[in-house]
Amino acid sequence: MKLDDLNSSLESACLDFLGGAPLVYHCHHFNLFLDQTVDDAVGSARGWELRRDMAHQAWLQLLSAVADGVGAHTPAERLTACQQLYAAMGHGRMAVTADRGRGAAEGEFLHYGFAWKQKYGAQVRRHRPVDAVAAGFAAAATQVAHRTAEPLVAVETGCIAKEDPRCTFEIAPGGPPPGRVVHESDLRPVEPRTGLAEERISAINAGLRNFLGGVAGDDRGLVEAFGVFVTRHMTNYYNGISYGAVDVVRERSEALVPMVEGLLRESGHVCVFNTFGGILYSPEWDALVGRIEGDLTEVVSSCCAIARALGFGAWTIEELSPKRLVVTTSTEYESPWCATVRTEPCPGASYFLQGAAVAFMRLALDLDWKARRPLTRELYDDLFKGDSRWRVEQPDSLAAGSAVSRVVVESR
Amino acid sequence: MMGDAVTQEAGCVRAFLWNVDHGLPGALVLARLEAAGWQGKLFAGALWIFAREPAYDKVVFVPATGRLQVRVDMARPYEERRGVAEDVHRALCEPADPAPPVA
Repeated sequence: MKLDDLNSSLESACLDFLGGAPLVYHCHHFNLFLDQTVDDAVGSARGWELRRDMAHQAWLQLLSAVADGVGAHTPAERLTACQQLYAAMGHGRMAVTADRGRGAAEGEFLHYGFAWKQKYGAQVRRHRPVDAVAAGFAAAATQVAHRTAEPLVAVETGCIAKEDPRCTFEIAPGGPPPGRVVHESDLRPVEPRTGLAEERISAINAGLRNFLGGVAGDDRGLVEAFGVFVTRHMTNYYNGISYGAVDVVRERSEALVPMVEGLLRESGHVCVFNTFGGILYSPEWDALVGRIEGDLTEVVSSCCAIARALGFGAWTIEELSPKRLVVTTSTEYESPWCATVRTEPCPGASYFLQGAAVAFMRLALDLDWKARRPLTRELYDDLFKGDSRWRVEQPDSLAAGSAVSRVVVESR
Repeated sequence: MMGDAVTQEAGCVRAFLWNVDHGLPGALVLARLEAAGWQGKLFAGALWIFAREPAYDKVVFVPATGRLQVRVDMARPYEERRGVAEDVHRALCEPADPAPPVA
């Protein structure tokens, strides 16, 4: 069986899987912001451990399924399958030397390190490595190659983000045993919902998904589409670090939880501004949909279509006016983690969905689409860093047993 | 003037996206890019994406609107990036062979 044959989708739900592992597309702006949020919330040392361990368990699930699925038998074959997958997902290239119970790895064009250097390298000197996702991969690939259950842990001994010549890793026994992660089989089929501008959203989503289906990584393991560098990434990683950070902060002080929740919502702003904005500005959008003019319904429905195409869930518009947006969805990628992995319910905690919905309104109403201002850091700060005139609530949550997740964005 | 015809667009990576104004009909754009060694692929009947190995730069062209965007390989040093877009502009507007066959 080929790698592509392991892809599957719950199409009515706009959720995608590889070997049963839930995956979405996210760009480096979001990826770097979310990792930094975790470090800010729990401290850089604990943040690194959390990110590395969540990456490890998410990769273990995915790599095991893929190595088995493509019929790789020997350690060398299984390792090759893992490395090819890593590059195909847009994470760069990892060369792992895997012995039973230990190993070493070297990375090139690693998504996090390379992107960090591109984005911040000229302004900031970094003293800590950045590639926790690659470290998790290195340890998981070594285990999967030799089919060993004994946990391994990787240390990033060199990182280009801190001006080392290469990203290097050492792999040795250690680390926690992997915990529960979400699998495709945990999700139930859902009835598709319809909302405002449904015909337009469905048509654009179909066109975008068709286009994305033809997008492939280059031989360096980089994936570019719509003028944006993207990864295909594991929702088990995103959710593991997000909810894990909230749990760590809650153990320290309940009073600090709203702060980290606010940052997790902001990850939705960062994604919508950079990725959705980049897509809407792109020549691909001009060709596939038509140049965007900036009408409220046009922008918000376009954003819902993009969310669906990236595998975020079947987001629909229940209500829309210049003062209020209600986004409803019978599927999204955060709630399954809450419902499956956590032992306590987490109602109202689809942080990314909440932040993204607010950003839809800001893009639609606060951005001058005719002027087509460049999507710079300064514009981001103009749109998102001042006093927000929008408040967001999530009265219904799939994670709490509701039939839908419903997010209400209202002008103050 | 090339200075006005090649302008930076804000993108995912610094100095990554460049808009090239050319004022040429679509068929001539395709012909001149191919003459300059760019290999194109048509997507959804509406969008051409060109590459030129062994580099990783891309040219994205929308025939319906004439919009042409150069995406420079992000591994290139910053100081080289504008030059890639200017080379594309030259290939379009100051070609070595000014009259390639037009389909």
